[in-house]
Amino acid sequence: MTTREKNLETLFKQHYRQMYRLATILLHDDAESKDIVHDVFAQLLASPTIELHEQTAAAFLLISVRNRCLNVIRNRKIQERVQRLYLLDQDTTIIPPDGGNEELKALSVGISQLMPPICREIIELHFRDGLTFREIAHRLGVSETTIYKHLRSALLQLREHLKRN
Amino acid sequence: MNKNELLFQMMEQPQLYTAEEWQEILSDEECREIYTLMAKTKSAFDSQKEIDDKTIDVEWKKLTLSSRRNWLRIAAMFIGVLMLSGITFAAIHMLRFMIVPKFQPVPTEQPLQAKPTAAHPADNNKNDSTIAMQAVVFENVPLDSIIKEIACYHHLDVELQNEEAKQLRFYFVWKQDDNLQEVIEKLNMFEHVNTTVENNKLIVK
Repeated sequence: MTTREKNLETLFKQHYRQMYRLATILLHDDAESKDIVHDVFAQLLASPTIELHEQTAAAFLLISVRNRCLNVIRNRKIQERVQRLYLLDQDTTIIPPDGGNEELKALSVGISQLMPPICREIIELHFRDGLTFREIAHRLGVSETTIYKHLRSALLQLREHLKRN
Repeated sequence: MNKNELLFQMMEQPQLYTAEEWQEILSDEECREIYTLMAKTKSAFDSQKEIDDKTIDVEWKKLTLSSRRNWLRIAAMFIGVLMLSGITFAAIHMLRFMIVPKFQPVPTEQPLQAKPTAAHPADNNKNDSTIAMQAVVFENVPLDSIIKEIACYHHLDVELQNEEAKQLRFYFVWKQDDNLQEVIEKLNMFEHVNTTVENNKLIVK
């Protein structure tokens, strides 16, 4: 193994979590996110002319991940973007390199405080477990319209929560 | 149903709606805000996913494996090109070797005397040869056959004065683009061989 390859391995192990996290925040997909990080390092391994410096490596790697994710997003049709819950065009240009860490932390707190409990349940079943609204309605024994009302209420609470923070 | 609920319903099956319909609903500021909030809610859950050390190790191995595979692919291509050029090179050489005729002993009935004799000055024949660098290999061939072949090529008569010498057998490479004098000098390097050219005759003494 060359020194360069060893250095890259160190960087890989050091920054993998952050890079994966950013990719998954943007793409909401485990396999695709791993592919993105893979591709960034594959390119580095294949091009010995790119030199990474310790101070700037983290920023370089995260920006590479972000740009690759944005390419993936831009290459998809609007229906596919909505299906995968990608950010819309205007929002993708203002993502900070860390993926908006503070805001997401605040959102997580907001989710845990949703009332009544059914609002939180719907949010978790849909966004965490990937169930459709129809499936949630079936599981909870209520109509889809009821789900929509609770969902709307939940999202408005989250919006208020973010504004307060 | 308000427009937020319509948005939720559309999101349940996004493919059922055209791009224009999507543009329309997302151009509404409130719907847009709700959609973005949903995307971020999803991100909030994504950001809690934990990656363990083992996954990172596995991913790194995949990476080195695939980059090595790339190197192997490049190396294989390189070897392939080398082999191909090697085969071509060998084929050219084999062809070239095959067109060099192996000398067959001249049948005795060949009418050597029928050749024009004094048509050309003996030493200028180098330019007459149409095939450059042609070499004839005589392998264990009697001297008289060699002499007759060379004389015929240079439009000379043959006079064999030495009965013993003409039966000697030689291995001799005759380069046809050597001029007659050079050929004779090479022949005379053999023991017991003494040839000269006189009056358009190749004489073995």
